[in-house]
Amino acid sequence: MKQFKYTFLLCFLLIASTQINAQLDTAQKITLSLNNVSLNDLVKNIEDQTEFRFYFDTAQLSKQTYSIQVSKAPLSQVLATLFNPYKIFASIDKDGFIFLSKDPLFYILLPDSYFSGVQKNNLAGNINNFIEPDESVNAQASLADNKLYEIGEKSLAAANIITMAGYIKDLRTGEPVAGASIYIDKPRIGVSSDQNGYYTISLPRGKHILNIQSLGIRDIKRQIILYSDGKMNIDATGSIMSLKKVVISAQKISNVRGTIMGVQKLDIKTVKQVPVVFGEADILRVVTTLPGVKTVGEASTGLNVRGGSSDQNLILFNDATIYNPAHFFGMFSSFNPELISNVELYKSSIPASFGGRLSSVLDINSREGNKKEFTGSAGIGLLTSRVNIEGPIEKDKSSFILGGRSTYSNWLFKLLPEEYKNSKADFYDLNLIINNQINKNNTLYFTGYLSNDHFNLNSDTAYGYGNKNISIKWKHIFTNKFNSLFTTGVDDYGYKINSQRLPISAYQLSFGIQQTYFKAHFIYNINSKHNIDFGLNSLYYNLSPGNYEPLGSKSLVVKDIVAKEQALENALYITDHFTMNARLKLDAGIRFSSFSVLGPNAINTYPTGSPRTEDNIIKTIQYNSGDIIKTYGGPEFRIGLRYVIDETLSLKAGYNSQRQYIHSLSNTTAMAPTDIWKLSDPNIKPQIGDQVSLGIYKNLNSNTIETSLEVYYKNMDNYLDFKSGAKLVMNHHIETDVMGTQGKAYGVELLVKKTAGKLNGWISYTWSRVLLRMNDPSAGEIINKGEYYPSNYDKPHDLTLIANYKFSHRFSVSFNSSYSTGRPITLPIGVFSYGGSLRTLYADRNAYRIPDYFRTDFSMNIEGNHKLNQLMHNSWSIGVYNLTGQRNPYSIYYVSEKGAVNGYKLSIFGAAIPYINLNIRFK
Amino acid sequence: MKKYIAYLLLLFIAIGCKEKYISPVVSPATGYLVVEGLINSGTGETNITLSRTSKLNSQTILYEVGAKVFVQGEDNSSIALKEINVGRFTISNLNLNNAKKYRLSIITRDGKTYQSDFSAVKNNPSIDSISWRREGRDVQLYVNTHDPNNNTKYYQWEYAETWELHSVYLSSLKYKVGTDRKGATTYSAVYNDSSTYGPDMSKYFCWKTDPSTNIMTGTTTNLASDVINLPLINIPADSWKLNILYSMNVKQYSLSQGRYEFLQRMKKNTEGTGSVFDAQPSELNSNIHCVSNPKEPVIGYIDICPVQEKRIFINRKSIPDWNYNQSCSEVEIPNVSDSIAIKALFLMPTYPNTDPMTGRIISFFAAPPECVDCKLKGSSIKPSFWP
Repeated sequence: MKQFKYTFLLCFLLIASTQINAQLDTAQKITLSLNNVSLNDLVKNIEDQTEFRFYFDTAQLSKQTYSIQVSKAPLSQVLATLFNPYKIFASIDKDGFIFLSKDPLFYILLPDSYFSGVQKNNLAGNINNFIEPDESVNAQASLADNKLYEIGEKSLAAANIITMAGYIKDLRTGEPVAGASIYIDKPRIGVSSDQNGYYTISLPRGKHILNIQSLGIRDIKRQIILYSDGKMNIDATGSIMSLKKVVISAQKISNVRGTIMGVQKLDIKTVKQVPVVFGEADILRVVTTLPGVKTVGEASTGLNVRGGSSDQNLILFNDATIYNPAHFFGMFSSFNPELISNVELYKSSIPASFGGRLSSVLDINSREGNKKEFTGSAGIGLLTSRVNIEGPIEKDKSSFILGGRSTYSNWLFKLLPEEYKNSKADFYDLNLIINNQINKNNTLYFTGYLSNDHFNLNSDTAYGYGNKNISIKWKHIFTNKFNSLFTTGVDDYGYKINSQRLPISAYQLSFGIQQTYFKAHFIYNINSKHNIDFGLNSLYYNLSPGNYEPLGSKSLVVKDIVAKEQALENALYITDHFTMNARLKLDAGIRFSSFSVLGPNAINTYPTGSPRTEDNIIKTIQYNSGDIIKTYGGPEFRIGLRYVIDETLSLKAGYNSQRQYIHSLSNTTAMAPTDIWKLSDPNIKPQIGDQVSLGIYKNLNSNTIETSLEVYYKNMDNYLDFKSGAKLVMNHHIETDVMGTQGKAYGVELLVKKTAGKLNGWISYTWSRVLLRMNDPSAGEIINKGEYYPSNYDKPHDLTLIANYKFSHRFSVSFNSSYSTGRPITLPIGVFSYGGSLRTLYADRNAYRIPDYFRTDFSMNIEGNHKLNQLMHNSWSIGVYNLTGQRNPYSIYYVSEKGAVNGYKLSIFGAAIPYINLNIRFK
Repeated sequence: MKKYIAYLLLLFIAIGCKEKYISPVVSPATGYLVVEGLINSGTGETNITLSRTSKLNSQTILYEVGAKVFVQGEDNSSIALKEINVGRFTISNLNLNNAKKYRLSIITRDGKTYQSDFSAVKNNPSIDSISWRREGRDVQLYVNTHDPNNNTKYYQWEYAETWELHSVYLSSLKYKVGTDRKGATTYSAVYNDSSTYGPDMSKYFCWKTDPSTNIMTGTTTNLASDVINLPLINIPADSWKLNILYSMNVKQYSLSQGRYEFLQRMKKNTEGTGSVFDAQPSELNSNIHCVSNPKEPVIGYIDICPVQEKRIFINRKSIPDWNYNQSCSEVEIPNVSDSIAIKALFLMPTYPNTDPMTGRIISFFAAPPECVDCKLKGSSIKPSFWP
C-alpha cells in the first residue's frame, strides 16, 4: 500500500513538472486570415495555434466582429492589431490565461499602491504583465487606471463626510456578491457588503482608491471622487471557470481587519473540493474540518462547536431555522451544494442579530438565480442525483433557482444479507429561491425549502422526518445611510414513526415543531466612525411533543397526546461598530431577549430542594390559552475589539453571552432522527452560556497565507442531561427525567490557511476540553460523584489538513486528512449473571476513550473543456474516502450473546470507499 | 426502537465493520452482590440465586455460597430458604398474605446483611394462551394475557423450550477394542446387546431443553386495556426444534414499575448497545441495600407476585411443510481391525451386514456420531411432562 502511494505521488509530480515547463511564449508566431468573425471564433483560432486560453465576458465583448490578415506575427502584435481599435484591454498571467475586457476590471495587474514593496515582488512572481510593444496600448491602460468615477453632484455643497452605497454584482450572472470587503487605505475605512451585495460606506470628501475584494471575484480597484452622497454599483468579474487564483481566497486581509472573531466563511467552491464519502459535496462535513468544530462520529452531522452540544447550533438557511440538517441517518447534510453560495460559521463573536443558541450560528446563504440567461446543472453520484434550473423571470431584475436532489440508495441494501433486503431509505430535498428587484430601493426575496427522509429497515416500523421552510425577505433602502431588511417566515420540522405488525398495538407516533418569525434589521451608517445596526426578532413556537395514536381498527393503543407547548421569544438588539482610530475598532452589541411560556398547558410543581419525581408532584396548575405561564429574559452581550498592529497583524478580543430557550433531548451520542425538542418552562430553565476569547491574526506572503491563533474559555449553565434510564419520548413530565448540568469548555485553535496559488488549503489544530458536572443532590442523581467528567464529544487533540493542488485548469487533486483523540465512552468494569446471561456492570460515566481517529481522503476533479459556446460542460470527480482503509471505531459496546459478554468495536466506514460523480452544467 | 437499532447496526456493518474489542479496563475485583429472582407469593417455587460480579474477562459465575436467605414480613414473620445448590436458594408454597408487605433478607457468609425494600404482593393474571402462527416459513410464538382489572401493567416472561430429537440412524453395534497376540490394538464391530441384537434406543430418543437467555418484558401502560399479545420467540424455517415435537413452558411475573425499569436498563445496557443511535449505558436502580453500608452497590430488584405458568406443544404434523434436514450419510466398512482403524474410528457403527450362514458381522455401516448418538445434543431422559 505504501509503495503504491509513493508511485502515485510520483506520477502526479511528473505531470506537475511538465505543466510548469510548458513555457508560454508571447512572441509565438500566429497566422490568421479572418473576415468579420465573432470574438468566439477569433479566439478559437488563436487557441488552436497556441497554448493560450482566453477569458472574456460574452455580454460585453461579443458585439464586435473582427477581421485580420497576418502571417507569422507574434501574439503581442496580433492582439494589439485586433483590440487596440476597440479599446479592449488584454492581460495575461503566467499560466497563459488572457483576459479581455473593456473596463479596467482586471486587476491581476495590480498597481504599486496596492501592496507595499516586498509583497509586490512576490506577486510579480505570480503574474506577468503583458507589456505591449505598442505605446498607445500602454497609454490606454494607464488612462484606464486613472479613470475617475464621480460620485454625487459637483455643484452641491456637501458635508465633509460623504456616504456612497450600491450593489456589488457578478457581471456575468447578475448575482450579488455577499461579504465583499470595500475599503480605502488612507485613512483606513472599510465595510463589507451584505448578503444581497449591498454596501454603504462613509468616506471623507475627495479622491480615493476604493478596493473591493471578495471570494470568487477578482480584486477590484476603483478611483473615485466624492462630491456628495451618491450611488455606485460595482460589477465584479467572477472567476469564469475555475481560475487558479480564486478558490479559497477567504477575504484575504479581512481576517486581520474584521472585528469579528471565530468566524469562518466557506465558499461553495471550497466545499466542493473536499473529498467526502460517496462524493456528494457536503457543507456540514467541510464545516467539521474547521478548528473548534467536532462531531461524535462519522455518521453524524450534529456539530459540536467549542464544546457545545449539537442542539446549541442555530442552523439558518436564508434565515429559516433547519432543525434537522441530516439525510440518510446523518450521512449527508440536507443542503444542496449547487444552490449554496457560502456558509458562515460564527463560533465566538456571534453578532447581536442572532440569538437563541449557545454555541454557534451556521448561516447558510443560497445563491441567486442567473438574471441573464437560463442555465442548469445536473449531478449524478453513487447514491444521489440532483438537477437545478435557474434563469431570469424578468431579465436583469428577477430570477429564480429551483433545485432538487433525490436518492436511489436502495441498491445499498441489496448488498446486505437476505433478511435486510426489504429495507428502504429514501430522501429528497427541494429548494426554490426567487428574487425580484422591484426598483433601486426595494428588493424581495423568497425562499422555499423542503426536505424529507423516509426509511424502513426491513422491519414493519417506518420512520419519516422532514423540514419545511418558507421565508420572505424585503430589503428596503431608505437612504444611502439607512437601509433595512424585513423577514418573515414559517419553519416546520417533524417526524413520524409507525408500526403495524401487531394489529392490537399498531401505532403512529409523531412529533412536530412549528415556528413563525418576524425579523426587522436596520443598518444605519451614522458617520465614518459609527456604524450601527439594530432590530427586533419575534419568534412564536408551537411544539407538539408527541402524539401517540392507534393505527387501524384493531389497535388497542390509546391515543396519547403530550400537551402542546407554546412560547414567544422576542429580542431587541443594537450593535455599534465603532472605529476609534485607524488601529482600534470596537463592536459593542447588546441583545435583550425574553421568552414567555404561553398557555394552555398544565405545569407540575415540585418541592424545592428535593428530586423531581412523579411521586412528589405537589400540584398541577392548569393554564388557559392566552395565559403567560412564565417569562425568562435577560441581556446578552456581544463585544468584539480589534487592534491592528500593522497591515498584516492584528489582535482581537471578544466577550459573548447567550441564552437558549429550546433544548433537544437525547440520550444518544449522535444526533438521532428521533430526538425531541423541548421548550423551557417553569421546570426547565433556559441554558445560559458565556465565552471570552482572544486571538492573534497574521497574514504572510502577500496575504496569501493567513494564520490565526484563538484561545477561548466558556461556561455553560443548565445544560440538560438525562438521568439514568430516562424516558424521553411520550413523557408527560419530562422534567423528572432530565437534570441541568454545568459545563465548562476551553481550548486553543490554530489555523494556517493558504488561499492562493496552485497549492491551497488549510491546516487546523485544536486543543480543547469540554467538562460537565452534576453535583446537585436535589436533582436525584449525582453523576461521577459530583466531579467534572468529560462530555461525549470531548476530544482534546484535533488536527485537520485540507490541501488542493491544481495541475491545470482542467485537472486538480484534493487531499484531506484528519486526526483526533478518541471520544470518551463508558466502559463496563465487570460482569455478572442475570436472566440466563452474563451481563455488564457499568460505573463512572465517560471514564474511558475509544481509540484515536485517523482518516485520509483523496479526490481528483477533472473538468471537461471550457469552450464557452458549447451547450454542456461536464466535470468528473473521482476519489477515495478513507484511503488507508483505517478502521476508525465509531463505538465500543458490549452485548450478552448466548450467555457470554462480548466486546465489539464498530467502524462505520471500515474500508476505503471509492466514488465517482458526474456533474453537468447546461445552458 | 429496538428493532430499528438492530437493523441499523447491520446496515452499517455492511460498509463498516465490527471487530472484537479488548478492553483496556483493569477490572477491580469488585465482587458486588447480585440477587436474582423474585418471591413467588403463590404455590410454586421461589428461587433466589446469589452471585458476585466478577472481572470483565471472566466467563465464570461466582456464586455466593453459605448465605442465609429469608422472606420476612412486616409482621416480623420470617421464612428461611434452603440452599439446594451453590448460591441457589429455594422454597415452595409460600402462600403469602396479599394484604401484607414482604422483603428478602440475606446474611452473607462474611456477616453482612442485605435487605430489599418491603413491597406489596402484586396481582398476576393467568396466561390466556401461548399461541403460534406461521410468518413466512418461520414459526412465531406469542404470549397472550389480559388483566380484567386493568392494573397489572408490567410483565416479565421467562420461557424454557424443550424439543424431542431423534438420531438419523439406529445403532445396534458398538466397537470392541482388544489386543492381539503382539500387543497391538484391534478393533471390531459387535452387537450392543448380544441377546436381542436390537438397537440402543437411548441413543435414538432424546430431548433438549433451552432456557431463555434474554430478558423479556412487556407493558400495557400505553394501551386502553391491559391486554398483552407479544412475540416470544421466532423459530426459523426448518429448524430442528420442530422436527418432531416441540414444547414451551412460559413463566409470567407481574412487575412493579421499579423492577420493570431495572430490567429495562439492564437490557439496554447489555442487549441494546452498539448502534449509532444507541442510548448510553445507565446505572441500575436496585431495591436491595446493604444494611451496614448503604453506599455499597447491590444488583437486584425483588418483587412479589404469584408466578403463572403455561405450557404449549407444537407437533410436526401441524406444520407439514417443515423440512429439517440433517445431512448424514453412511459408509460401509469391512469388519476388519485395520479398516476400522483407518476409516471408521471417528464414525459410529450403525447396523451390520452379516454372513447369512454364520451370523458373523462381515461388514457394517457407520456414520458420524452426531447422526447416530442423540445424547451428543440432548438428554436421553424423557422429561416428566412429555406426552
